Amino acid sequence: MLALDIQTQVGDLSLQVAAEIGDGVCALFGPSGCGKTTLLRAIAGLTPCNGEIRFNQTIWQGSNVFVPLHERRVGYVFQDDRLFPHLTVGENLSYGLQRAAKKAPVELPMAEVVDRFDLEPLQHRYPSTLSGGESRRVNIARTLCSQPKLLLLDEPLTGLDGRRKAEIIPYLAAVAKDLNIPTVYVSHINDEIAQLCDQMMVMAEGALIDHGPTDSVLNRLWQTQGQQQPVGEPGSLLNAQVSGFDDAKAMLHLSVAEQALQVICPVLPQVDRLRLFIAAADVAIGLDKPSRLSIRNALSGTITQLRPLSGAKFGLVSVDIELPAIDNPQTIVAHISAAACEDLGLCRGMPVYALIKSARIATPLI
Amino acid sequence: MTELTAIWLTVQLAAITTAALLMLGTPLAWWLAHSKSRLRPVVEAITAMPLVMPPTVLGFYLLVLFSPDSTLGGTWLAMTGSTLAFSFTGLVIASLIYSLPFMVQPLTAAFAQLGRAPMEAAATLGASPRDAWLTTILPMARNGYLTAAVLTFAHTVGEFGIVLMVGGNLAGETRVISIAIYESVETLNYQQAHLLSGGLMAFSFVVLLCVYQFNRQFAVTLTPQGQR
Repeated sequence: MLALDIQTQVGDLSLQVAAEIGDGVCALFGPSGCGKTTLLRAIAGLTPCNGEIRFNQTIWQGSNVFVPLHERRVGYVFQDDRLFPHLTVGENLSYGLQRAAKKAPVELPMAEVVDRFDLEPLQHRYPSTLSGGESRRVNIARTLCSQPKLLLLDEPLTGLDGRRKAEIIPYLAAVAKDLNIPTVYVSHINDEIAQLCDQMMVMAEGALIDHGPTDSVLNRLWQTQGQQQPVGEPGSLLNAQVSGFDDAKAMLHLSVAEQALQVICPVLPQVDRLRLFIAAADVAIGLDKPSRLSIRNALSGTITQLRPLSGAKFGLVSVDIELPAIDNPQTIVAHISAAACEDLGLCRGMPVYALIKSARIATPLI
Repeated sequence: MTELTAIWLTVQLAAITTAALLMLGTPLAWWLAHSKSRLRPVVEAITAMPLVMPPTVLGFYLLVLFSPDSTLGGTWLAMTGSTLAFSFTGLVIASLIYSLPFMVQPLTAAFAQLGRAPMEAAATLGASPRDAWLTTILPMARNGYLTAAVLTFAHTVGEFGIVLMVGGNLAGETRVISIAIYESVETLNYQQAHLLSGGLMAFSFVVLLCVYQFNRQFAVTLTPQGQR
């Protein structure tokens, strides 16, 4: 567990964060310039700050303690490319590993990382000959090879195509879980956050404005960010259970709050539970269960809240629909036009159907 | 024979000066590249002064400093029994000062271009500052080091004004090539002047050719398969 209570001033930004970040993957979300990178750098010891940082039982920074960063065993994947140009890919990968191996037994062998990141063909190349996506993979792999006790990932997947992301995200999640490495993950992408992160922190102007389990934070994200330029797509996170898979049609059958939901997925995921992020703009509302329509998903629920939106979203109404279930009721958010809302006569407590096109749901990565 | 002595003395002086400035210039250049201190511009200006000052000015003050009447010169005389002025040691000290910018400026530029990023990355990979510096900055700045060392060596070989002021013209002690050429011309010994001057020109050309050749090969090895 990572406990922080720190303040620092970098240029115009005044950062003040107090938080306890538990094990697992924690998303760090917020508009650019809100201090996400500064926070990561302060945790790593790269940017000086006042206050206290404690990792598990060790005080990294306190009133008269400062553990130098090379002794913190923090794996940091920087936003920019930091490969050493004078070393080959293989030498870059073993740089951290060799130093870690002197202090403790190696838990994550290099061969495994090389294999999972498909780096064998690149081993003898120099960084200047790599493509952007290849560099990203080597950067992440090098950090994992250094046997970190804490992972700080600053938008690590930028520049990778969907297929590579689909390979790397599950592996990152598995490594963080299996080796019990707490991870802070900076991302703007709701899908990545929904699928990878257990907790979520939202920052604005150097301060933490929300922190909690990913589903609840993500679901109230649009409200917590208030009137300041909100970032990220509004939407909701649904917990789903895998109930079946149709190979021929690449259709994954899920169950959400005891109702059926179908998603396009090329392969059967190796898990029985997964999290889906559904953008509010992709959800329509029907008063009846639709027929003679291509939309396959109609989740029945009750309207719990209606909220007209302002600013860039003026003319839209945000509708919360609660999907009833005995053990785990869930909420899905729909953004529909104010005109449609009026025509349908929507109001609180009304039973409705939330309609979602299968094609609009991002392919699950895990 | 006297030419050979002068050449050997010059090579010794340039080699010692370059080696000593590599040691002294590295921390100074690193500090100049990364310090946020308000003193930095002051130190920068002092470091660059030998570039713009007439060598005779520097030579004059060094001569004053080296004289047995001054604290430094007097202490040196008491400790070693010989004077600093008109000695090889005095020449080395003078060379360290007037060649300083030729070492520090290329190194500062190389360090500034690299920034702190390699050190930070190495630290997160578990390298101590010393380890990180030796394994990332040093190899990454090797072109800067090569340029700095060659410029320092060549400039030390070529300096005349300060050497004349501080060292004078003592065979085997302070008579370096540039002084020997001056003396040959003064005594109308043009043949010897040609020999030394031509040799110095050829030497400078070969050294620079090697540097540029090495730089090209270095750039090529960094991109073997390249963007084919």
